Amino acid sequence: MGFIQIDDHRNDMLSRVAESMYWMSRYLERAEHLARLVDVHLNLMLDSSPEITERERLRRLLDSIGMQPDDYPLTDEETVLKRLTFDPESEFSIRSHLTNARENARQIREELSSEMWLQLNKLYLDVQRAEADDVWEDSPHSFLVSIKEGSHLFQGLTDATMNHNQGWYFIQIGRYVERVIALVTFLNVQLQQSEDFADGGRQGNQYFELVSVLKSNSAFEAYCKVYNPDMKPEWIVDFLLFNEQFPRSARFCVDQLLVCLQRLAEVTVRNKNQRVNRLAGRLQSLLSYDDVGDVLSGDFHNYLMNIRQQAYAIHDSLYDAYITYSIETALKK
Amino acid sequence: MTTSSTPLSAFDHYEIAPDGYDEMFGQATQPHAQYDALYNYLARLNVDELDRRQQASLSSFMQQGITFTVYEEASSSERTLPFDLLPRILTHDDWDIISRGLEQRLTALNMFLHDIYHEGRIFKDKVVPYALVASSRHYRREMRGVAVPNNVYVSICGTDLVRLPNGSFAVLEDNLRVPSGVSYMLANRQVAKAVFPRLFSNYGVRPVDNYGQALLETLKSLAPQREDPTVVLLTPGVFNSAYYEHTFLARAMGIPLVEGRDLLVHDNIVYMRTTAGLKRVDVIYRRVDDDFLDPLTFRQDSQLGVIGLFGAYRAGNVVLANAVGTGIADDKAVYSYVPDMIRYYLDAEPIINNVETYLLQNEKEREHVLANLDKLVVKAVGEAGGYGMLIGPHSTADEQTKFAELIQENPRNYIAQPTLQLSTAPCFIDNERFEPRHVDLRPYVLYGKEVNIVPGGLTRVALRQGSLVVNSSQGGGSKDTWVLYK
Repeated sequence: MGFIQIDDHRNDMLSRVAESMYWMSRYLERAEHLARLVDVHLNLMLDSSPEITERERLRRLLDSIGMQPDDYPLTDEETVLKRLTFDPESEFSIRSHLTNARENARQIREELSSEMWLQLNKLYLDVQRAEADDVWEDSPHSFLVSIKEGSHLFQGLTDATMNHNQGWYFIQIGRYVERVIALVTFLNVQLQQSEDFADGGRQGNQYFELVSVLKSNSAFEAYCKVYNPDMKPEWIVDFLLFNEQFPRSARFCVDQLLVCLQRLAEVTVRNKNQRVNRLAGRLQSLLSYDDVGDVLSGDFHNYLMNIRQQAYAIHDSLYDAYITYSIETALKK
Repeated sequence: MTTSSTPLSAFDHYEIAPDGYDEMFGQATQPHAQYDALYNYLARLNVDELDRRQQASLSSFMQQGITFTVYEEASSSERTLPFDLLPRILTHDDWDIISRGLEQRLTALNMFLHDIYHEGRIFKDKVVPYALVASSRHYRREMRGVAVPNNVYVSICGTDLVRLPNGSFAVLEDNLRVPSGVSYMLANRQVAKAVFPRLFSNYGVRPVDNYGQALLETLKSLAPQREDPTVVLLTPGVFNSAYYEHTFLARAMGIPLVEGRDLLVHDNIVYMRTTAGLKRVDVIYRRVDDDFLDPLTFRQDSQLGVIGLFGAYRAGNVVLANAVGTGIADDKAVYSYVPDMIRYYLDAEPIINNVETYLLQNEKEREHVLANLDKLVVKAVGEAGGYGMLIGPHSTADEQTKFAELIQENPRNYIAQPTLQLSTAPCFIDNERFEPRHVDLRPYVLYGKEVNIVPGGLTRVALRQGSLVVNSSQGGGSKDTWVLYK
């Protein structure tokens, strides 16, 4: 043959390791998303409008990361934002998300490249060391930017230094599942069918509001390249749900998710038509055949929640297929 | 040592204890022959250069993340094992005795383990008292009559040797359960090569780097009936102090590093849960103590083990290395009988002897020990790592009283040994000079189909001046160990 036969033991990946890859990636994505939302919120407060109070904005921010009113007392802005950023006790803080990401990474350190580990560990240590009061006094903006950049650097290192095999697929899957869920949860709070899509629409400071919807998803510049800086809620929905090229759109995420799931089924010698792949395929076709007219002709809220339910189902069936499968089904093979 | 005639300032004031053995220097301040070239080489380096190399070696450990975890109240920290840059050098003849002696000893110990879990001939012939074995907390009744592949119970062992003032070696402890430290042996070699590249290449040092491969071969040989057996390393997890070593060895062998929750037992077959489905496991190199292996059989509160593992083991469907129940031969009271075992099973005299040991169950020996606590070392029989011991000459009257009470309460639980004058070796101290420090030697012995000892080991150093305790948890460090070709 002339080739060295590679021992296929090396392709075995423990389910526990796969699970840690997946959650490391989800938590990091979650931290980055929250850093961006807080940053945009602070920015928006600079152009405070009389139509919407500080409390309403805070409530909307908390709603858009899926927090229930009971989870958080709405005190003053600074207290709420500091808690969202630094509180080690709260499971909803950037600091907790990074701690969880790093803890998952620590348990599979040997499976990551050392560059990845060092970067994630550094990001974690930076946030651990930061003093909430100092950051708020100095510049919360540059701190929040450093979280986003840290996350981007980790993703770049992951692509550049790790084998693109099973572990890499689980990292991608985790990121895109998290991103889709976060996006639709966010949109569901930020845009209201009766106000935003009715004739005439919202008045006054609507421009700033809509820009911040885009900026919360790093989408402002990308949107402008397609639609010009003309803010229309329909176009924004169209862009964030259905655009094929924008890496944070629901369509893009699910496309990537499906590709990774198919490759994963190949390398683990699974049935390519297993449930998780079918679910992802179904969501992918929904997003590739629908357009914004289909969304607005029905109930906007239900449409988004349907996408979220499908993403949850993909998560569950991913577990059923690769991580917590029952012994009986596994032995039948 | 005289100062004016030596060219080496770092060796000025190097003082060997008058009745001690030094690894590098004979009594006439002349280096032993195997150290000549090293001595001459060092003579050309000044103190600053030595310090630079010492620092370079330490930072190399940090960067590679070769650390162990120290647990303190409420927090833990990662530290490196202090490394001393001067190698400890053993001649071909030293190694010949060591390797033959260890092979003999491990062979006898394995025969002993097979015997006590089967016929018990050694009890019937009154060589070892049954009560001594049955009373050890490391004796596993569950292992009686269990067949073990090749009758090899201990496949991986790290025996602690010391060198006595007359230059001969003696066994201080057999570590037959889950001996650790082999990753330091390998890491020390990498660093020593980087610190003294030219010297090393001309010295004729036997390699140790194939240890990972040798270990995997040994483990595979324990499952001869399975074609291309699946071998895994079972770790207690990321919080274990030797976790780094577990990851290191798993990587060196190219095998999965598993935790208890990754394994499951179905119909007495052990599987690991992989993304590609359940995969049968044939050999488990376990770094988990007997107690925690299987909550069905051993400690019920264990979160580290695998339910049903012992059943699969008894059924012969999986191999554990080391076997269950080897700790009995580690018991320090049983240790005192190893020379008798060698005579009994092999009809030979021990090549390497034990350290003289008093069994405190015997009234006469106990009285002698209690009267001389300030001169002796007392050890708890089931402990390792330098815990639970009294070093008489370095102890306070209070500590001696406490140990006297402990001994009276439960004499079976303790042994005593004379305070040994461990050999010394030069260590680079305070970034400026060499001073003698006490050392021991832990070679790593593998036993699958046959005995295989990589030529080398971990030389552990008691870095505190005058200290006799070399354990890493107690302020010890280490050196690379060079075994020379003939």
